[in-house]
Amino acid sequence: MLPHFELPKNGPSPGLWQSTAELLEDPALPALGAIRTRGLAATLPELSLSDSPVALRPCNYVVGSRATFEARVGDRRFTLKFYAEDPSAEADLYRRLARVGLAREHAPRVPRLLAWDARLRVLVLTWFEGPTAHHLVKQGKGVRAGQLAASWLWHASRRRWKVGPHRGRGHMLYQAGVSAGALGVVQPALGAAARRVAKLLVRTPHAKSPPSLVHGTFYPRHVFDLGDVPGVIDWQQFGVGPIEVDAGMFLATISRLALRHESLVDEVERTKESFLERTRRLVDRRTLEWYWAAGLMHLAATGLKTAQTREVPGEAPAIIDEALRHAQCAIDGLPNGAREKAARFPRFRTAFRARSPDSAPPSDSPKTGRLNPPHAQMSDREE
Amino acid sequence: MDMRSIPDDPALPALEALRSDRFGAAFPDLGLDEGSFELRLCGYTPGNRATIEAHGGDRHFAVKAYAKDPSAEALLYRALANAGLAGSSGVRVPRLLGWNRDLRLIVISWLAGRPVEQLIAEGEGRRAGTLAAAFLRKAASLSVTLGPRFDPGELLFDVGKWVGRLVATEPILGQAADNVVRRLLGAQPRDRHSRLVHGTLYARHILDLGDGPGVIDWQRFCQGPLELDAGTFLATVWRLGLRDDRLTNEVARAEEAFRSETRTLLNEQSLAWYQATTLLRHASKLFRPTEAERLLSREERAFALAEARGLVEEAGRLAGAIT
Repeated sequence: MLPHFELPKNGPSPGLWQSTAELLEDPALPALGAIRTRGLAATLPELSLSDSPVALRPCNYVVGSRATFEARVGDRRFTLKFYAEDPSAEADLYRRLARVGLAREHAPRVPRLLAWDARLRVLVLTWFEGPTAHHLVKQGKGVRAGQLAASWLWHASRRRWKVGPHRGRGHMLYQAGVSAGALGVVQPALGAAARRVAKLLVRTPHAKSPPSLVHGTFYPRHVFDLGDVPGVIDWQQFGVGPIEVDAGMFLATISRLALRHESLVDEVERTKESFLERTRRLVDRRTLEWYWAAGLMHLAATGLKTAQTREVPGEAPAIIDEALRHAQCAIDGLPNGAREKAARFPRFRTAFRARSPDSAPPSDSPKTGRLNPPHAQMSDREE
Repeated sequence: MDMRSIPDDPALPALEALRSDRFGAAFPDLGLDEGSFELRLCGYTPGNRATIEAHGGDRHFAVKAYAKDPSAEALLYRALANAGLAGSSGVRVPRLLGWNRDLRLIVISWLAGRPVEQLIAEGEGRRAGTLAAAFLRKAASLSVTLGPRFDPGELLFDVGKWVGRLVATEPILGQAADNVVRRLLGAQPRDRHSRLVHGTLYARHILDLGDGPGVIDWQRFCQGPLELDAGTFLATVWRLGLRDDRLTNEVARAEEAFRSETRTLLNEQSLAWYQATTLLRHASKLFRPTEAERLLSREERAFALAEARGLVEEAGRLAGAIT
């Protein structure tokens, strides 16, 4: 299946509201066809929908793989997630998380499962309203973003969790390998640099952490500010592993934000400091550095590794440099504060030199054409 | 000695030594000064390694030149000889004749025999499977503890590289391979026992020496699960059938013989897991970004793509059977 983050030419325009009859056609996503022909109420009767018209807005679509829509019916609002593969495990996860108190109002939470159909491969979930951590950083509220992400990890770590595939070292090394392999085809020197970092990671043992619930793609755009607590969406890559998997991925994605947008460098630093301060007693720092480096390696070939583009992201060399620094910290321990600060700014300059002069200014989705309405729930697995 | 076939590669100091007196001086016992020698380049990976067959009179050996120190491999040949695997019958490996750390080369005895892939091509699939099984049974009984511990994480990194290469060259196939790996990631084997394993037990590395198998090219040896070697062997044999459908029956006979004679040694799920990863490796190899591959004609590329698809599909079938 070829990932595609733009809607097809014959499909709806990004972000435009549409009726069920206008739903795009994708034979790999059977629920789309069912809802288009029979309507939402008849396809998913457990939603107990009224006769009010249904309005749908596409949030994300990967051809032949998955699609996410916001749905509004009367005063009800929810998320529809369409899949090519059976989402039963994800549905089961939402139910289990609700049972352990992680879907309660006014508490850190995940969406509640409203309905699902294994045969049609569709989930219906509650909608989250609020800015994501990604947006908070862009709005100059990095400290808040770091607080929210840390808060979620503390809550997640309190639950004993054994359900789901293992997510840890092997999984991250696989992702690092995909980046190195893809980069090696397009820019052999960069691929070689990625392999050198990955070899450091392979050789570095890290402490055994107790297994926790792991989100698997704990990107800032998946963490919502729900007023007083965090909400976390898009759990299809969940599993069991060290809490540092999610912490490292959050930091890697935040780090990349600074490497992409010079104007965000200071805010990103505040986010990292806020997050690290609040997770200091939760994570093993060397293990965190390992997963931070591995997360960066995963992100280094964004777009390329999912065949969205055949061009290396402009920030990739700087991401690999940054990954190398964290891999070395995982081996040698942390440098002192002075060294940390001195190393930071040349790195950013390198990143900006690597970008083309006509690079777009910071925006929600400057590179991939993803659907990314502000403050709206979205799904982005391939980040 | 005819040096025309020896490449000029500064990363492999042994090749330069072969051209000069330094090689003969380093290994006086080989008798290179006595009579003429024929040299034949058997394998060469630029900047990495080369294997040269040397033949003269009754002397017949292999010179293996490396970019990195091959001491570990040399010590392994010595340990395997001490374990009785360098005799003149039964399961055996080459004997270490010499080794020079500075020149980064080893000299080992030449094992003459038909490789397993040739046996299959010549209608002796059952014998091919029996030979591979005989080696595996012997390996299971050895107590050689040399070599690094097999690291599943390192293998997964390699699998990632192979998939990444496919994604960047053939996106649809690459995504299919990625889907296969996502299944494999959820079903990683929990191998309990580590033993000496060859590491790249391709069909061409097992020779029919008449009264038993000879196993060559040990540079990737480690301490790991037997299923790693078994899965590698089955994957390369399966590929023979994919490449030439006239061999399908012989391949099936080889696999059947191998499985029936190793049943008590191997965990089926673990075996399938390693077999699937090797199939992905073979699929990716077809799209290595070297000059040679860039020069493939359209027809050759289409043929390579069809083969890679077959390999990924089979890997998917195996992954599906595990999960």
